Amino acid sequence: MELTLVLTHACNLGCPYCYMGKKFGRRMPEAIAEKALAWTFDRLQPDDELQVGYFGGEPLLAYDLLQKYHLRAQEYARLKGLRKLVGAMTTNATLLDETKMNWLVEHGVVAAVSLDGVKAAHDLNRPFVNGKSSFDAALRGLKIALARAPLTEVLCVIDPQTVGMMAESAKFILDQGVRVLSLSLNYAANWDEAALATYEREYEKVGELFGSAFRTGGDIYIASLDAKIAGRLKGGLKDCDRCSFGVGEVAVAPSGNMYPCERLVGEDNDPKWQIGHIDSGVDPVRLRKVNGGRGVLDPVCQACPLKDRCMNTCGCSNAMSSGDVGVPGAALCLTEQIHAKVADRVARNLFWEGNPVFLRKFYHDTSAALAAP
Amino acid sequence: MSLERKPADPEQDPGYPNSQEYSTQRRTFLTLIGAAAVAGLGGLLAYQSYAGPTTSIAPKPLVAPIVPAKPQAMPLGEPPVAPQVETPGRTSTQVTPPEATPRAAPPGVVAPVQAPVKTPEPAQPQAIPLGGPGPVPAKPVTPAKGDVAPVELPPAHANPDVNIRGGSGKVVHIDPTRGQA
Repeated sequence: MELTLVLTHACNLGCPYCYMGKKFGRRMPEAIAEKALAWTFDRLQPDDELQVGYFGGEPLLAYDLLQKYHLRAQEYARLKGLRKLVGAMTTNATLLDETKMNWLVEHGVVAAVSLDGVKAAHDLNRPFVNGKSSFDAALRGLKIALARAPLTEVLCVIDPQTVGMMAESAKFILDQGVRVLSLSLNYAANWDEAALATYEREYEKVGELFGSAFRTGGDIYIASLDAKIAGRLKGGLKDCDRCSFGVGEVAVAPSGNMYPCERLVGEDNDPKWQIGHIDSGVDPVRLRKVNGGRGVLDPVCQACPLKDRCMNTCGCSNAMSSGDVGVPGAALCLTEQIHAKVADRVARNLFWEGNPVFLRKFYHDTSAALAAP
Repeated sequence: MSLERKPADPEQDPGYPNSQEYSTQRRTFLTLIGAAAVAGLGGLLAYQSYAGPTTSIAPKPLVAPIVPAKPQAMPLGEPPVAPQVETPGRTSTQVTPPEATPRAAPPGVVAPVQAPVKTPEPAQPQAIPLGGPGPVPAKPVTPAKGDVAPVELPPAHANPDVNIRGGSGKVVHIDPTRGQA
């Protein structure tokens, strides 16, 4: 199960693409966090796993709350005898220092850093609220994170303005020592054919970077490529790989309103996406209404040979790209096809080269190391 | 011009196996290799029992190198006796030095006999015998999952259950092994 606590609506950056909307200073009261944890743990069995996400705004602006609520979550987990509890935090890293990073690692909170690549790309969309560049501060924070947690993930948002720099940005990020990278599309942007063509061209280069890393013994992870290869290996994505929108996954706003996904919290003023309140729990009627259109593929998806490897069931991605939780938008649909094409080409080459890192990673073939050149 | 959704082109073979196909292929290959090795060994033994070892296809000798017999004194008046040699599995009288085994001298025999038997060269790497498994196919040739101890896993499996969200995207990490039948 996944529970996301929106610790604060405040942020020190002013990213125009942020789906959380206008920023304001509302923080999550302790009583709300306590109820959210109690509600969640009531639904868990000792054998279950729980991920608690700390979200914002910028969660490090509410670092005191993060510490307090995560310690409380750990206490609940201990009392419940929960098999696994993991924390996750997405941060712009500008406020990250060694002390905070040490605490996060020591308490099992995985940090992910948002960085949009090279300075030119990053500065286009991720300035401080005063308009100044956040690039240097974010890069400094990333290096602190990597020093303590080498598998720290970087989230790099790609939109039509920055897509021409996607491969250069990916290379820049990997050159920092990053091994886990997510190139995340801004689905809400206005993607046209020219932007999509640029996306495809740039993504081919990203595929080459991915292959090159394996050939030099690296074991990097690029989310969209890895997901497509994994989907192929498994004969299609399984239920556990799919978005659990409002069922196994709930986001709680500082007000106590509950949402099927943190991406739909926004400014916490759109009842369309609210599925309940932490005082009364999830309202099944509302949940059905929000979730009802999901899981039934429309004719375009039905006719698509990639439907079993596609993230077409991700309710929030669909909602953000098409306005409908059950239907992927055009940008989502077409970029998923590009991801599959590039992933298959790279994987095919690495497989027939007998790349030991590739075989170990994707086929769990540990003996493949014996075949290393 | 705004984009429109459309189904992907008809599916083509991605060109690399899925996990199940990979396991099956690997098992089949290992079985064939094993069978070929057994057949090759059997054929070699049968050939040896029929014709004896030859220099062209003889495998690595199975017996220790022969150490020349020490010169032994013979009683005066008796002719020197050459040590007899036997070649297992052969009926001809031809002597094959590497396989020759000197018969023990009878008690009391002390005289040196004749030139010592030449010590064979140390065994050299042998070509694969006729009927053997043949050339090994290109990689990947690996044992099945679970046959070897796990080693450090790459990032894909470091935190398979942590789904990170942020920026404008949400990242759902896919572990290749989760949800497998």
